Amino acid sequence: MNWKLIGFVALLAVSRQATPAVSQTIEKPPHAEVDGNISWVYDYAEGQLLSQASGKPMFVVFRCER
Amino acid sequence: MADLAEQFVCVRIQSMNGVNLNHFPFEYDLTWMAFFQNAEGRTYLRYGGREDRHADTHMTKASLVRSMQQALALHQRGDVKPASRYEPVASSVRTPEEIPPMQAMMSRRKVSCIHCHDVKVAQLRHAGDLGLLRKEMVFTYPSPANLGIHLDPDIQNRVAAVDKNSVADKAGIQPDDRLQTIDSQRVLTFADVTRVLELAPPTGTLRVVVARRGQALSTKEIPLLTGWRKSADPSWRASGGVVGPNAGLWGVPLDPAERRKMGLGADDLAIKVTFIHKPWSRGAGIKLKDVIVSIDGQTQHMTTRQLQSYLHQNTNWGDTIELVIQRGGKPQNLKMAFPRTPPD
Repeated sequence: MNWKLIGFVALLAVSRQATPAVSQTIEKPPHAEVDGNISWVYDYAEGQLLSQASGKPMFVVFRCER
Repeated sequence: MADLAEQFVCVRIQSMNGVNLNHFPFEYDLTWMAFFQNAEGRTYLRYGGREDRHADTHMTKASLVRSMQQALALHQRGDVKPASRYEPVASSVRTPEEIPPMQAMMSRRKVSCIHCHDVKVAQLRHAGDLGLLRKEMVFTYPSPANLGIHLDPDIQNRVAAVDKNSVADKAGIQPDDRLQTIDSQRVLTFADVTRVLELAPPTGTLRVVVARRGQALSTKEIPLLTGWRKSADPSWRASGGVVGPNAGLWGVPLDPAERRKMGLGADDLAIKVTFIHKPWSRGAGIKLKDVIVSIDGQTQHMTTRQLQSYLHQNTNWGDTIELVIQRGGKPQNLKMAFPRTPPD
């Protein structure tokens, strides 16, 4: 039996139903500046705007630092 | 590296709070992952990932530089990955905060940072709440090593080695082959490969197009056999504890001198208990400084993390398992009874 597929489909269906109207009740912690040679932005939407304005591609890193 | 980085808008996301999971599906058990994208959020390639044996198996400076150069070339050509289930163009937003168990998980924290692995833990717990949890769900983003393919850490679509008699070997994959596509998806990096494997079926066939020096591109068909996603040592996966009980203790493997003194070899299980923190471990009668030499019939060397992982994958809440410990130079048989349901 295809348990992974069944599990995935069921999760998808139920999680969509379970999506609350109001989310974001968990406060986003402030970012921690990273020292080094690379100039980082810490907000994805800001990165998109900068990418659009500069014509540069984005290098998006997910890194837990707490 | 810094010169290369200047050619990108470098975005560093330090917590999963508010991240759109529909836009960024990846291996949430990782602590580092990267995407190269255009301004619309369309992906050129992924970078990151690991094998069981070490967190940095595919994180090398050479491969990152190569990936950055490839991303720049793709950007110049506007060659993003097509919108598909592999690289979805998210039309809706779904954040980690919306996974039902997340609020309760975070309410116990002093810091409100949602870690990457929290996302997977919450997803698995949600599956558990719905009665859909399966132990196999821990094995997300499987490595091509599960099929016998070992990718070069520096040139990550190059096959460095193929396990003899593996499914990849039998399909005709050879060392030095360059993977071009898997199931029609362009693969340039280890992370690209694991993304395709994540969505591969439990059984079936993978169609892999390879380039081989001096030859035309060829397609190899690799069979996916039952259980192919599972790897030998998932103990690095922080989400593993959701799918089964743990020993309710912590410890350290004995050093060689201590082993010799007890007549134990390097390959024998020998974990000295340093911390006991659950009712079932206390109830079993385990004491500090006991040395666990057998658990649920397993006597081979394991780290404490591997011992926990063994229990997660091979036992269930409500089970009673047998242990043998050495205390004061004498073996003692103990029984550990896990509660019927996991504690909150």
